[in-house]
Amino acid sequence: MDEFERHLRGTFGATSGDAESTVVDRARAAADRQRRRRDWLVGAGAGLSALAVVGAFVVVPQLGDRGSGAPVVVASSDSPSPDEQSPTPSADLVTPTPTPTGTDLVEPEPAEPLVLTTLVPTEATVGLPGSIVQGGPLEAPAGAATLMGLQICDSIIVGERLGEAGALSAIHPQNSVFQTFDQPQSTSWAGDRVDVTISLMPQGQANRALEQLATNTGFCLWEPTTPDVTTSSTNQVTVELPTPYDADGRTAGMATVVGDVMIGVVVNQPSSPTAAVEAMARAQAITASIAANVQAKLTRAGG
Amino acid sequence: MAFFRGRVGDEAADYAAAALPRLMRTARNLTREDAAAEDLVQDTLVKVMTHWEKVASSEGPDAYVRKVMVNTFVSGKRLKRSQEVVSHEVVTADRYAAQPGSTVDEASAVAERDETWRLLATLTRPQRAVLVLRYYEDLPDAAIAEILGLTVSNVRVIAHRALTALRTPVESVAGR
Repeated sequence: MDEFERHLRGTFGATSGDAESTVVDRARAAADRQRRRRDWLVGAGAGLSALAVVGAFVVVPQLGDRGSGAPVVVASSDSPSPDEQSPTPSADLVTPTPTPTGTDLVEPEPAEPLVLTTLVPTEATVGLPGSIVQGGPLEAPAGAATLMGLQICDSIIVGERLGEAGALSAIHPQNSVFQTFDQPQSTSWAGDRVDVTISLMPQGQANRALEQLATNTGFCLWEPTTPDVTTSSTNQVTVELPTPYDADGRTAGMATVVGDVMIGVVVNQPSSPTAAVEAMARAQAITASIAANVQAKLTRAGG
Repeated sequence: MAFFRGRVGDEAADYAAAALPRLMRTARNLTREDAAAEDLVQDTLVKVMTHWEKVASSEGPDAYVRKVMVNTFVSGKRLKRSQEVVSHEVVTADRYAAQPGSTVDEASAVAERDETWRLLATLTRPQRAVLVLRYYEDLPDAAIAEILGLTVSNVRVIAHRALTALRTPVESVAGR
């Protein structure tokens, strides 16, 4: 450890631990409310389950009356088996090899690896030249929130909210990269901010992962506020916070799917009469730009 | 397994009260603003108390709570803009300000620390989190990687970039 690192340690170590004693009381009251709400939901869920069991007893004898004698299998959903949920993590996306046809006499060239970090847009592309991006694109092999800042991905909390079956059916990325572009204005933090997340989803499951995002049943859940969600097409979801986190601006986001790649963009627009509209327009434009880049690379690699 | 949990028990509240000073120090180092730090601690404690049964049964409640706090800071609730970066004025007005009658060395140390906080405020949240975990919590890079869901090499790259961004300006203020 050099002198500067010791200085940094001393700087952090000098910080005060003083706190308002009411912090714990406020947290306890909020936790009490959440636990009561959850208990109520568990109780309501148990009641509905009981009704479902009663309903099954009413329906299944009628099925048995058909006389087949064979066991009746009832699928409650089209959830894949847990085995389908455990792809091997990979830092790179290998683009799909073209399907061979009868006229393919030459051996196809090997697929070009598509590195996720190369898909992260530049500051100019997101419209924030000079923004703070010293961190560079960060890789998250365990996956990152598609709409950064609007979701929480804590596995324990997600498991609690979705239940065991729900958590198992949530589709996890094989790998994610994310980048925050910050542009503070003067000495305040009222500037623009753009969060970009690009994830490689298990093969063929990206659209379903997008559906899970829209229905808040994925591996990350809305937190702390549930946004207004609009599914504009099978591969596009837009979100908008009904109220801003603070008085400084409005937040909108968009998620889209290209092949097995899921793209998420969240824009915080500084306060103005048109901030909400502008935030959405920018989120859509940035997402479209990244999607076009992904599509071009996929096409190029796929021949 | 108990499905109905009722109100937060005294055990959870006692833990929170005992951990409060430590959590506040970490939160202040992450956010550098008292109100933002209190918000972060409160959000963390709500999550911890809501899921206290799991926290208490985990191998190390302190480690679990730290992980919740850091991830809340890095990728959870978006802090208010004004609370993400401390303005120069806030830093110089705080407890590190030079006192009347302080020596040149003391004034220089204050200026150096002041510059450090100003530059820390310009780092990204992951960068600040890595530095706080490494230099305040004294955690090895492997533990930091586990908390943030990153690889060890990611952590080292983030730390290197953050230190590079801080080192030169601070050392020039210190006259090194």
